[in-house]
Amino acid sequence: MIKRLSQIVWSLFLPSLVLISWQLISNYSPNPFFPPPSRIVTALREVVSVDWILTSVKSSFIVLFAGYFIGAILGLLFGSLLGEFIKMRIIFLPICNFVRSIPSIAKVPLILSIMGLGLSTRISTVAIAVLFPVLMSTVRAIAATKSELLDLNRTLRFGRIRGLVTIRIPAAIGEILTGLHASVQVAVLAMIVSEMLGSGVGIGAFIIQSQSTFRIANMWVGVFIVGLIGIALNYMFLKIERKSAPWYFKSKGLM
Amino acid sequence: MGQSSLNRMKIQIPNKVLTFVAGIIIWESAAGVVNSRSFPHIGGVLFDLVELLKTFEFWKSLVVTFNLTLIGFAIGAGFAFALGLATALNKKLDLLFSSSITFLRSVPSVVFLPLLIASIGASSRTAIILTALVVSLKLVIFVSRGVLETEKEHIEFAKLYHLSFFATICNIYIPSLFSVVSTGFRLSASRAFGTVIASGIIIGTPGLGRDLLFAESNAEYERVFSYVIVLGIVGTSIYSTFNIIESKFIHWRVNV
Repeated sequence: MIKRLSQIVWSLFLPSLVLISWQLISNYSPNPFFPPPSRIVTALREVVSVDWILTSVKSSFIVLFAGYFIGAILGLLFGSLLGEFIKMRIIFLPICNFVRSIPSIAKVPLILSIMGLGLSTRISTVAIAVLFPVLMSTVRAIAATKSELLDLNRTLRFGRIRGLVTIRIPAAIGEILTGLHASVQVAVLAMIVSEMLGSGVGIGAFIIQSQSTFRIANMWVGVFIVGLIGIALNYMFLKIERKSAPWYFKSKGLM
Repeated sequence: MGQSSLNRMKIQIPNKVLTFVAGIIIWESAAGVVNSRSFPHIGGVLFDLVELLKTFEFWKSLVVTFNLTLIGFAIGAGFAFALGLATALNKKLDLLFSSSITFLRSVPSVVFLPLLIASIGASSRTAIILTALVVSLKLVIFVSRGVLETEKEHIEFAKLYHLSFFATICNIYIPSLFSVVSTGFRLSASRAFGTVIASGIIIGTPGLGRDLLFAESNAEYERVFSYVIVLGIVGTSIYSTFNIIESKFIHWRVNV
């Protein structure tokens, strides 16, 4: 109990020290770009309202979740097919690798020039950013199915598609979940960038508009909220993946 | 050349051709479906790409992008090594920094851009600072894990020979952690390149990212695609280079 308490105190020490020093330094020598934490808390109270949540936050969450689910489902589907069919993998994997190597943010101007501004553009940006990491981790996981399981599939005469669904995908679920988890951060990044580049709505647009109109405390509020969303999604996914495939994470010493 | 390698070549060449043909079919089908000037045909893009490669400005931007990536990567890696070693070797320091590192890793790096523009302006320095931050937050976990995975026998060996603290770090921990960190290098080098491009696109710092955004705002659609192809080639090259170094390093480690 005392050990746990000491751990909590130590882990909160640095953030508290930073916040207190920041507040004290701001009181003695104000910097317009680093408003004191107390001013940011006041701005947080002023900004966060039902209206703001229904416009900015709701719009961002629609983009994030719709884009993530579309990208993840397509990634899982194509990843499973490329993992199962070797000939397809040899032909298409270099193309997927090439597209994945393009920084996800560099794809945004391309999508903007093809689709223009709008909700569908932002959703597509997130979906494309998520698609390739999920696809690659799924291909890797399915292609690495143990030979004993492939023998079992042949013995049971399940055929390729049934074997894929009932044997290979369940066996690869741990690695697939890891890929889906890693893509959450990519999805948040793509959402913010697509909103920053001229959409006018969402938390990303709120941050960039606050900066350009010199409402610096509001900009800090936006940064803080994005951080909280990132932490919440990360924690949520950690719980889901540990519950969905406990055997995999135990074998990796992560549980 | 043996019979088996000849057979392998016979298989490899048609596959590469098939990949190339599949790429063209996918591109042309997409261009057909979109049916707009904003999604040009591959012939126009390849012609524009050749024209782009002939310009001095392109090579200048490429060099600037590489420079910013390298400087940001080097600063970030240095910081990650110092912090990773300190937190892995001292439990109290680990507890002290872990919550802040977890929070910063959860925040998408680009949200710091408006903050950096507000405080230091949109310059090359902004891109370098952001890249260093991204690299250090990515790499610090690998360094820390590498130190913690150092074999106990090696640490005992250092104690037995009364190696000093710095000699233990240089001769025991650093050689041991490199196999874990090499994966971190590969991932964070790609991330560093992506961050420099992101800075160019979002706030207009010099380099290929800014050129890409200019092409998009001037509705030069072939040029937009040319830049994206170049970024794909550079991204693949960075990833492959680190992959080769990594496999060579692991090969060396296994031999030992």
